[in-house]
Amino acid sequence: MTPLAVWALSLALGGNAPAAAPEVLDRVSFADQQVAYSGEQLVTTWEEKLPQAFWVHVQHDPAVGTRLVIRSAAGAHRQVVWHTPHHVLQYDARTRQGRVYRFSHGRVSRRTQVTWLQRNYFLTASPTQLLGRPALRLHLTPRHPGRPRADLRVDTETGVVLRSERISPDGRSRELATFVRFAVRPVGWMRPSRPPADLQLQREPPVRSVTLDEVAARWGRQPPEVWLPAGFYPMTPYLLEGSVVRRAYSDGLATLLVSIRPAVSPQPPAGSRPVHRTGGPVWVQSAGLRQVLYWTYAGWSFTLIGELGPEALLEVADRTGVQPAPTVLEALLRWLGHSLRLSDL
Amino acid sequence: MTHPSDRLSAYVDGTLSKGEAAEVAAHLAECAACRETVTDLRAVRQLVRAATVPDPPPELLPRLLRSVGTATPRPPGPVPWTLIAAGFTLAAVLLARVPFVPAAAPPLDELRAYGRLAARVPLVELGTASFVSTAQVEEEEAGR
Repeated sequence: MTPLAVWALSLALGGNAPAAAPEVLDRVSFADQQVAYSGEQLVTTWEEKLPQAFWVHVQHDPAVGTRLVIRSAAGAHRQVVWHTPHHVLQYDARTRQGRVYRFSHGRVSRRTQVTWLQRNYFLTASPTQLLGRPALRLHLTPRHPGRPRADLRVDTETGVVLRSERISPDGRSRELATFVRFAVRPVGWMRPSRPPADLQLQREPPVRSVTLDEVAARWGRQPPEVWLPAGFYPMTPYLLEGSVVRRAYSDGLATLLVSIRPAVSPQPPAGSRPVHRTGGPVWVQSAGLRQVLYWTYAGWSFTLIGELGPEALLEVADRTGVQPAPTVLEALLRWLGHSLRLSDL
Repeated sequence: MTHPSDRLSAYVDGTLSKGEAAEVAAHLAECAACRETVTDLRAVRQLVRAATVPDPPPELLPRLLRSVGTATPRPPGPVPWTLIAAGFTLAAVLLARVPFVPAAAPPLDELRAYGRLAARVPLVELGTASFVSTAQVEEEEAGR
């Protein structure tokens, strides 16, 4: 960060703080491309007042990527994650087994995402301190119902988020990620770092960008358009992973992921509870701050994960379309038909 | 000598009073013919106990019913097709109303994909996103 930028940011913080918030957001969104750092982060989640804590050792270098060592506070489990612009590598530190994912699709620009954020959230900013460093407290309040709230503490010098707290719309679940130790490093300091050579990595199926026409050509029909809540925009193109079509959407802060598969009858995730809607059943499962929804419609199954409240996500299902669950008799007849077709072969 | 012939069966069955049983027992001590009768009665009793009771012949019930002047029942045979059809109809109606929903595994692939993609949102903490896509998921897997 140049001295001029520090001066401008300090001037903004010292003067009209709320007016400076958009500029700070801009800086936050580009910080990981400009600043190298390391530290220890405590990640805590509360679900229905049940806390779960993880220690995360963070190393970041714009020239290399981010390396995270995630340790469960309750057990000896240790996961290592490398994020680079085109790959995500995850492995278990003890067994050395893991997975590697490759991103081949483009991404929406950071500036665009900041624009979405400003459209969908009220921002207030005030100066504060964290870890002995001057910081800016950003409070994000949603303009639409059913969205999470967020409270960020941004390091004034670097624009790195030192503390991030998200609270579910009903206030019952929250996530807190806070640095307990933070140090700025010179850019390039991680260049010698490499993932260990003895890893046994499973290469996940390549993710390919596809159009809906290509999906239709593969399965003989096109999946219905997913209805989006106000202020959500596509963050990725349609992505084909094996036999799943996925697309991520964002409102600048909250993320929605829709996974679509060809399916004749529903197979809801174990542990989910059915919610009876006008069209048919939708299965809902809570995963911390996120809700997982599952339903079927027009020969496709939809799995929706998002940080929105259950009602806001159920509206997505309702407006996209929900079909009734097949009865035992229908399933039996379908099975008989399938068996007869097989016996003809 | 008066033989207690009418009480010998009750004696064998053990249904006499103590006094009567003592009188019969005193008589049996002196009368070989009555002892032989008691021996026969006991043998019959043993035989009846050991014998299996055969099922009544199928024509017995109709014959008995005819003898008491009631309507003749339908002879036993295969269950009528109307009853089978009614059973199937009832089962179909019940099945037609029962939803068929087999459960699947937890959506771990979706959570992993969510974590990877959410990490690309500028204001999302990488630690939190990775927690979603790795630690939480792997813990769940380990607990299964």
